[in-house]
Amino acid sequence: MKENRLFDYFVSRQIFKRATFILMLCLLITGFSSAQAQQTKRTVKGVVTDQKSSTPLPGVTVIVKGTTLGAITDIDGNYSLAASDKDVLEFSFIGYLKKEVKVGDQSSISVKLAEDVVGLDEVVVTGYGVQKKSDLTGAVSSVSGEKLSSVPIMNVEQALQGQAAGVNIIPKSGRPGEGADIQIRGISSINGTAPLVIIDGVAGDMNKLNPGDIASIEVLKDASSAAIYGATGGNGVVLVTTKNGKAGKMKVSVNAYRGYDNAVGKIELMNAQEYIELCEEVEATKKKPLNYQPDTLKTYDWQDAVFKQAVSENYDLSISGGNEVSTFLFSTSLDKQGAIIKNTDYQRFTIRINSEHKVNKWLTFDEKVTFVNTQKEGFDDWYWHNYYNNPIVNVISADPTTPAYDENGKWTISPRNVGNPLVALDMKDKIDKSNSFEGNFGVKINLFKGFYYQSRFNGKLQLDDYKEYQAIYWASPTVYNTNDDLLQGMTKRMSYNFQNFINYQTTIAQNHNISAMVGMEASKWWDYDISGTRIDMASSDPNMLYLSKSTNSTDDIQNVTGTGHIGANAAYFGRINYDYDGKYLLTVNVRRDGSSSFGPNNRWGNFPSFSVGWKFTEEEFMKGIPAISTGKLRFGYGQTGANARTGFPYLSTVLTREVFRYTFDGLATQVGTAPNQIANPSLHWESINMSNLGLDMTFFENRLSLSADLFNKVNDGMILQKETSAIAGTYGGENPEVNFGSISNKGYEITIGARKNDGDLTGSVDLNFSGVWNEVLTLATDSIKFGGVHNVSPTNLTRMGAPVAQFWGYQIEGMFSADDPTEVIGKRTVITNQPYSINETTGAKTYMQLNARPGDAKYKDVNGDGKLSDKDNVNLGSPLPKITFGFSVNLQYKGFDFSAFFNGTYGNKIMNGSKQYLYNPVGYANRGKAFADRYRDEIVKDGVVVVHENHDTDVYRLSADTYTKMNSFFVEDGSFLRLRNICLGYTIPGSVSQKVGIEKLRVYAGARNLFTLTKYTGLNPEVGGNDIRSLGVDIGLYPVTSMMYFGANLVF
Amino acid sequence: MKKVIIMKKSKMKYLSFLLLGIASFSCTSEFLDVKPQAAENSAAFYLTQEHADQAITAAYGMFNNVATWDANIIQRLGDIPSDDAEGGGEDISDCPNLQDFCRLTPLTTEPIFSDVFGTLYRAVLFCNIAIDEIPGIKETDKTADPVLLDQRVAEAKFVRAINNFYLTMIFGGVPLVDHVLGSDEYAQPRAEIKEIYDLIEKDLKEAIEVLPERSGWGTEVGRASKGAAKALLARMYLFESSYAKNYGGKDDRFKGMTERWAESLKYSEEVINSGEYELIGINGEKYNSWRGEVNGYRYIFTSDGDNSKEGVFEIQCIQEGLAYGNARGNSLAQWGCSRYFIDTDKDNTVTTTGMWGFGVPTQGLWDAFETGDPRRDASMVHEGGNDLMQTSGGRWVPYSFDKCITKIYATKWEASSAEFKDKGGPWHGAPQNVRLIRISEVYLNAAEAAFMLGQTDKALTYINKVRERARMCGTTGVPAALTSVTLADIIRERRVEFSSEGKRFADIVRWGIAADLLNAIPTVDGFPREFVVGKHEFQPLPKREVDLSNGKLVQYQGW
Repeated sequence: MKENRLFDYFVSRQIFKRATFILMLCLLITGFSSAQAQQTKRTVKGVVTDQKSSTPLPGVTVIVKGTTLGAITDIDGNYSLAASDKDVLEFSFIGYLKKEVKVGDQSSISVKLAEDVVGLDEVVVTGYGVQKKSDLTGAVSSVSGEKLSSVPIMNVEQALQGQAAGVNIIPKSGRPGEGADIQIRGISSINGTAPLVIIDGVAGDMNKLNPGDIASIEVLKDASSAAIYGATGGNGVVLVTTKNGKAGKMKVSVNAYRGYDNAVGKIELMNAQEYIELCEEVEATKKKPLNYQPDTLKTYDWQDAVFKQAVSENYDLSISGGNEVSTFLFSTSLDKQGAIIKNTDYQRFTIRINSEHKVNKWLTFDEKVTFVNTQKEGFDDWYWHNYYNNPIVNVISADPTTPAYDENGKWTISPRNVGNPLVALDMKDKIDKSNSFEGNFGVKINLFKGFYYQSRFNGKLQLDDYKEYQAIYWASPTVYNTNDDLLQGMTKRMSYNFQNFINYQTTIAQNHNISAMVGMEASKWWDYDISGTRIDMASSDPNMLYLSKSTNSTDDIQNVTGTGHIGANAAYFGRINYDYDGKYLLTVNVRRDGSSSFGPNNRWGNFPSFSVGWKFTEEEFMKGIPAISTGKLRFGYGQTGANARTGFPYLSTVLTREVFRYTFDGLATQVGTAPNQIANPSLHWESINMSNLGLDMTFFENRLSLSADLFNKVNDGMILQKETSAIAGTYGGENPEVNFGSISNKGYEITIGARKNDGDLTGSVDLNFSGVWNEVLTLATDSIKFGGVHNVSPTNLTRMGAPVAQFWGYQIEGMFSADDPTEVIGKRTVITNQPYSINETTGAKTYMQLNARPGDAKYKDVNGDGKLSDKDNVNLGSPLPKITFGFSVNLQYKGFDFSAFFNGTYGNKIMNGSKQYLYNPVGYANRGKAFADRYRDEIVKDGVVVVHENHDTDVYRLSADTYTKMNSFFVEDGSFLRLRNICLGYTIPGSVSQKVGIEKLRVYAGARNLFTLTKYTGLNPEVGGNDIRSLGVDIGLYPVTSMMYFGANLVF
Repeated sequence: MKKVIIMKKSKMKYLSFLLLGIASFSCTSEFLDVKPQAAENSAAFYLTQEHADQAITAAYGMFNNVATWDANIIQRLGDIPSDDAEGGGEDISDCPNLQDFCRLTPLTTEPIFSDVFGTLYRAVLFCNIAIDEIPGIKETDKTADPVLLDQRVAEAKFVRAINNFYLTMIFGGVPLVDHVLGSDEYAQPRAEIKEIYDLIEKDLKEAIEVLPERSGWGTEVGRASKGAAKALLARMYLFESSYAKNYGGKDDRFKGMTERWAESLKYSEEVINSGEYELIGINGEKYNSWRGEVNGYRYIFTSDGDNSKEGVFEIQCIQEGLAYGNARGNSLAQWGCSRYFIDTDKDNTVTTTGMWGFGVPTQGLWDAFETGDPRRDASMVHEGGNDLMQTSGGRWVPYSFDKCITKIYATKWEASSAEFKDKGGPWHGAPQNVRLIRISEVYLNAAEAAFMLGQTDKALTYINKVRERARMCGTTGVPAALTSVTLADIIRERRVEFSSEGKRFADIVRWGIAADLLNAIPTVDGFPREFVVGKHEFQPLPKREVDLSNGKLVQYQGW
């Protein structure tokens, strides 16, 4: 039985092959016979190449205009066909402008095709399929890999920055290996804005991708396009497609660059003299004068000691090629990012093999295999984003009268006990490694014309580990480590994804084009980790640093811990695209999503959407306007979801807490277990409704393009903890999570592009900008206060009727001066030209700032009650920009290419948390230069003026009242314009390079972050890495770097 | 034609293989039903005997919530609003909220109300979970002892009852929560006090059937026992009876209550006659404690006297040196004992003890003791006396009364320096148990119930038993046995027996004498007090709860 089947199968294959052969033969014969009919024709040959790179273009359609006769170029771009003198040859190829050439007496016609940069016929990836860009009805931004490969780019976030209208990307900091915060169309949940990232059809991690492997990135911004990703598409979807080999000659491509990184900007700090005077002022209440001679003191620059020039390096090698059956691309890359602070290095190594095989006419499969290794040194992310520990803060604060190291290379000890920031940086000996393996296997079966079935299976394994050795050292009487210890841990993550979908495309009655897709997807992930600590290592030799080498076996100082997580998602989805005559377009999506994070009753959610489009320039009445090339109006509405939750918030999870213990015999306590959070079994997805109205137009033969979108996005049912009556038993525990909260984002996006594709000078100019109005409509609690820096907290307030995370504090109206009238009340001298309240029984006046002295900030009595209280807090501005924009210029002239790219924001505020340290009202830490000009009175000790009077200033005095309250002094304009990248390249003419066997050689040099225009006084106006509830609070982040670089692209 | 069909067949094979794959995913509804890792969810918990033990332990654990039961319920809400104590502290501006309790002018936003209300309802939740979940363990854990499981449920009923009793004692009618609330049930109106009493009665009667006597728990004497349940039930009947007698028909808040003295007497006598308890020191025994050799009454309140035969239900306290918030100590010493001492080693400088001296006893309380009653000196010190307190290192030093507004400090809850100050500071709490129900209370409950029933002989016997123990603890022959008994005698006896134990305010309320007593005595600082009948019998509900209830939960008149 079995053998028979096998035999059947075999025979059918043979027969099929034969049938194909016969079919091909017939086609050829027909071709020949028609050629024979045109006796007057002769053979015309030629090569079609790319105008810019001079590389041959295979697959270009060459037809004799007005006939059906034609040919397709081969792998080397050669074609050959029969034509007569009067014929016109038409060359066309997807992504290139059409070209027509009269045959005349030529027998060899070689043409160069220019790329159609506007790419209206470009195909874009839309999730479980592709669509012609011109037929899109949703809001999709697209960035081509071409655009990415000409300048150094370290990660996908950077590649997207400023490129797509409505996509706001804020790097978490300048530290190598840190990602970015991505906000697509504003902030629709305080639980996070991270979009769904799909790499080759499967959810993935942007930071584990070599930018050189990217063929294109599409950003699905509106609900009608993102709804095919349903419950996870609410924050937008970033679709990344990686490159594939092309049939033809094997191509080896090398891209390498080297860059020199320096910290952007430097905080101006006090010199030693100013610092000592400040210390005297801090000391003023104490009896003894400091024994310093300020004039002879040398100033040491700690920023110079800590921020060093660093080198970035990147090497990218790819080999690609193939034939009609199989194509492949192998690539490997090494990326090292310049770490301007010691022990913060990061590097990424990647290997990718992409290949595709056409087994036969109906069966294609592909596989993509990747390996990524990343290594990150030093402190953990949270440490750099923690205002208390953040090493940058310690650098600013270090004592300028002492150098970093003494003559013996030992850390110096500040006479005032100000910490030496280099101790922590020098001693941090931690490395985090991550190794991920991924296999992505896809099958495509053409069942019959227009109908295909696609299946994809993806499996991932990620092994992360860290190792940290804390050595014995002694830096000062308070900073030392007497026991060395070793910390080691591993995390193993696994996941798989399986998806299947069927696509059918047909045309009914000539004008009705329909394509439909239905499918399913399921994925599951789980991870577990284990970590341990041992102290007293036998040796500090790195080869001996393993947990077994501890010499101490005391139980209570050794520690092993570990946990695990698990989750699953499943979905069914479908889409119908319909167009009538290519003029009227309709797309309908629906997805049903299920997640293990929600209870059985609310596990599944439905996410429908639709969008319509009208290509009005296809209408007869528009045809007479030559300036307008294409035009399309789009409208879409849909629902997507967001699930910021992992774990099991629907379940009542019981915990063992210290407070649940009890003793029944007065001797020993027994363990108690109870729910710490009341579960909400009806918790469900956050649901985001969005409508989008868009217009796409091109003018002057597509040379000028304009795209504009208006959107309205509302998150209904944001997940928040709800204040719950104590009768539920919530006192002392966590309030239950509920879907009660709503945020709306309304905005616009405009993209304008101009390009010139012919002549010696070609190029393009692109501008995009967008604006979003954010408003919190409902909240499960009154308001959310959040954020803080050192001793100012909270900094942000989220409340109904206002944008999220507004800065909230006192408004400063001016400064108290020495000329202000005063009155002696009790033992105090009180400034009297300020608001006061009157005690109803005694009639006594109490002034609002009772302890105010000249030089103090004067707060506004907002509610007019003469008292300074929370009720006088006002909105001090929003961290959300009014406009975000990007602007780029690309020019090519002969072999030269030039690109410049700017981006920025307008209208956002930043809470300059570093001022907390630069104007610190207590202690002996160093302060900002501006604080040297603070208001102060003369202080004389032992007949010596140790602090000089300074009344003619607008810098408030050393006072906790000013510098520890959240007030308008800390809030600054955060608008900026940054020259993100500027690059000049030269490509050696093909005629020269090809002689030495090089297809293309381009050398380039440029700079990243060359300049930034901003009024912001902190180090960097891009403040990332914050919780949504405390956006825009700059705690003093790892500085961004400006990098001068040079590099080369080589193809042979 | 044939070729085409064969071609399709091979495709179909491939496709059907894949479709099988799809089916295998979509058909399993369990695919999304994954289990939490390393975190027990309640659906996967409550399966074993151990889980049952842990569930009930968490409910008891709420008795140790920092300051709730000792400082808040006993001192701030039990004694300070009564004629027994004043706010105290450094001066009248110290902890204004405590001064407000004394002047009967607390704010509805007072955090202490939220703490008491919240902690007691949290305990109720944990009990409700235990009552719901533990019976099922008989099915899931065949090795579990079914008798013990039933006892665990009975313990939960007792703990729920005592929390409900104190909720009504403090706030009056509160929402009745007899099951784990769903998210649509968080806004609830007040139930009648009587409805809560019915639940308490039901819970306790069921618990009495199942719980062992105290001695049946072996070393785990801290658990709820048959005796504790009966004593609490007797106390509840006593309260219901007094409310019915003194407020019935006049005040809607006590609707449905009846005089049930006989039931009260019955359960009290069962406890007295159970042989489980005794009035410590009734035969003049002396005991060793950190204070040295002490009389029985003094001994009861030292850590050495924890779980003595006097204790019917004690909150188990332990000094583990844990941080504030996790400590399972008794904070009454911290809040209530002398703030300063005179350091005789250092030129008699006034030095802080680390305690705060709030809730100081009044002169009226001092005077309520018969001269020579040994209970007075075992409970408090007066300026001018020769008493000493123990400070760091075990030194005995004189008290300083400079900052004491009443010139009297409570000493009942004092801890030794070794237990307290030397163990890392005040917040960590003292180790002696909080005595919630003592056997002397059961005697006096019985005396009162019997008296109200006209059984004056019985009343006389029971009150004299308490006086006899007091007398045997001293050498003065005071207090002498009574020859006849009046209600005033019972009222006075309760006052002196239970000073600083948080019973006074609820007692004078239920007797209906609060207004007369309190309005007659201004505070030491001259602030008049106005106890408004119909308002001050109960404290206001926390404002937060009223606000969150969508108008369902309403303050009593006047608040």
